[in-house]
Amino acid sequence: MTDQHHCTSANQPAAELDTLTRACVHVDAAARKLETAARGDAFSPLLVPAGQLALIRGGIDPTIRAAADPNDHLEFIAHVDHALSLLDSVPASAGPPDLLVWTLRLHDLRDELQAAWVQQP
Amino acid sequence: MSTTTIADLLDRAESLARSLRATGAETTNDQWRAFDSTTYRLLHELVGPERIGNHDQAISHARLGRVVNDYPSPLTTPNPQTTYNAQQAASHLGVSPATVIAQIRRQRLPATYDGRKYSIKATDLPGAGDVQQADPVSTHPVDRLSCTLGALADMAVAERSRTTTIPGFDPLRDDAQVSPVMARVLAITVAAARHGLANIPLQNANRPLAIAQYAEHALDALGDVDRPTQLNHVASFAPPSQPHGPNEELEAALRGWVTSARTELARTVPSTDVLRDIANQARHLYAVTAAVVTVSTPAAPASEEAGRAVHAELRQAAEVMHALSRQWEMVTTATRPGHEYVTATTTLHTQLNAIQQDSLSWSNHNNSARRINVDQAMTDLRYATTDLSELTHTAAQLPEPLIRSGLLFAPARILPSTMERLHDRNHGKYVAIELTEGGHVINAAQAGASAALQARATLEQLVRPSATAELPGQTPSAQSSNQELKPIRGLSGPDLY
Repeated sequence: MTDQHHCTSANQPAAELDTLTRACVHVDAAARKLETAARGDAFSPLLVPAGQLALIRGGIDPTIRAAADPNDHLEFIAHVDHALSLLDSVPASAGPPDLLVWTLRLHDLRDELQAAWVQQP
Repeated sequence: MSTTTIADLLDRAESLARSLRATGAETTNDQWRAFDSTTYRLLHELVGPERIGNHDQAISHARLGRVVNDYPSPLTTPNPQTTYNAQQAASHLGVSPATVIAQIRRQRLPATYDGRKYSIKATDLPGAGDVQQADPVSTHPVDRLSCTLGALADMAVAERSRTTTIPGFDPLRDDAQVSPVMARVLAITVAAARHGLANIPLQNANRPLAIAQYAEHALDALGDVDRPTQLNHVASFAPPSQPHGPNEELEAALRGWVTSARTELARTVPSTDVLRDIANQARHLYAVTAAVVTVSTPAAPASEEAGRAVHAELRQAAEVMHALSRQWEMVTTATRPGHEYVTATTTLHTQLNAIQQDSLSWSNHNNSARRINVDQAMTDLRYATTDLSELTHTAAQLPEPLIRSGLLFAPARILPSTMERLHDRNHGKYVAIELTEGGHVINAAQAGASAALQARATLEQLVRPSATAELPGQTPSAQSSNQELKPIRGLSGPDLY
């Protein structure tokens, strides 16, 4: 198992990481963005999609975490879009056999994420 | 609401037994035999297996075991997996234990011997399993009674086979909780047997007579058991398969999620992503429950104050769950979450969001199709808080054995540096954490379990004084069903309401 928790951010040069890992990092980064936006409010609706994103990332690879990156200026939805784009480009033999299902879940979640963000005061 | 408790079924069985007095419907021998074998199965499932280990418990349990063993020549075996000792087999066959042992020694009855006692498979007993069960669509009162008692037996089996438990609640393993239910079943048996005696063909009357005599004797043997029992509150859920409207959708989503969560927790090495999600789902459930409490609180100063207090308690519990979620994020078992769980949790999140955003919105009150029955939703959410106390308790038991087994990993970079970990730190590897390093996650998991219990107790206190209060927007049918709901008493288990 390789730790991506403290050494990998979504902005890390692409050549250093494989596509699947970069996708997971983007998913986790999106979850972190939403958690940060919740500002510690335990009743915040933003924590729901954040948890769902973390669960999907765990389904793809439970050992990958995104680093907290102060230079990350991407919106959470951009992270999700990047992740979807990367997941779509993973060769069929490179990822887990159920990668298609996790990609589909992430795709389904994207619209809900957008709606949750818009409703945020 | 598609929930049935053991108390509900006992009430129904007693009502059916009373109705027997007013009917002179002839009872066929098959109908009686179905009732007879179902009653035995129920008593057998209520008493459960023999106790070993604790001497006092074994002695106490033996008294109930004797009641079942005294059942006169049971017509059938409770289930194919059951095994009997020589005395129980003798009871089934209507012979003495010595005869059974003689049969075993002459190799006429297969059995195993563990050096202390014989063990005989129920399926090896002559005549096992030749009783036809009661017709579930029959309107005959004895058939209906048999089906009701059969459902009770099924609930006892389901409760005993639960994979997760909660501290302080295990009524089927507490003889003091089981005895009152057994007494009610035996009283029903006496009533049904007397009806059978009067209405069964004369050549078959011996059996109801024997069962009536046995049940009366067993009632005396149980002694004074007139006390409340938590077993009454064990519940069974049958959510609609095709839910319509926000209440049914909520109920179906809650039951689906709880079932999936239990399955995930029962895995040999559970996924930490699932454990984290259970904490997150708990947080979400408390948020929605707080919103429902706010809407359902009557506009009286005392009620408003109580509502605010509940809101604050639920927020506190949600904060504990949020902290727990963050602790689970730091570690991993490298196990991926199951697809069924992810689907179930996504569905529940969607339903809870819909309640928060649509059903509780005043602007949506003209849309009757999407209007939620707040009282019923509150009942479903109360059931869910009890489930949460069970799930979080089970989850709190996991970190320590996982750590001791070397199955809980964390990035070497965030753990204390040692010579052994130098290589792993430099290469960004995960390593198994030590017990001394897992204190935060262990404590957070235990705090989560305590918070869930506290949240549940808070909702209990809220519902007690207002159990009979009418809420705006209730339909007549909803009011009728709510009148049957009873406030929760005392500490309970997963299905105690």
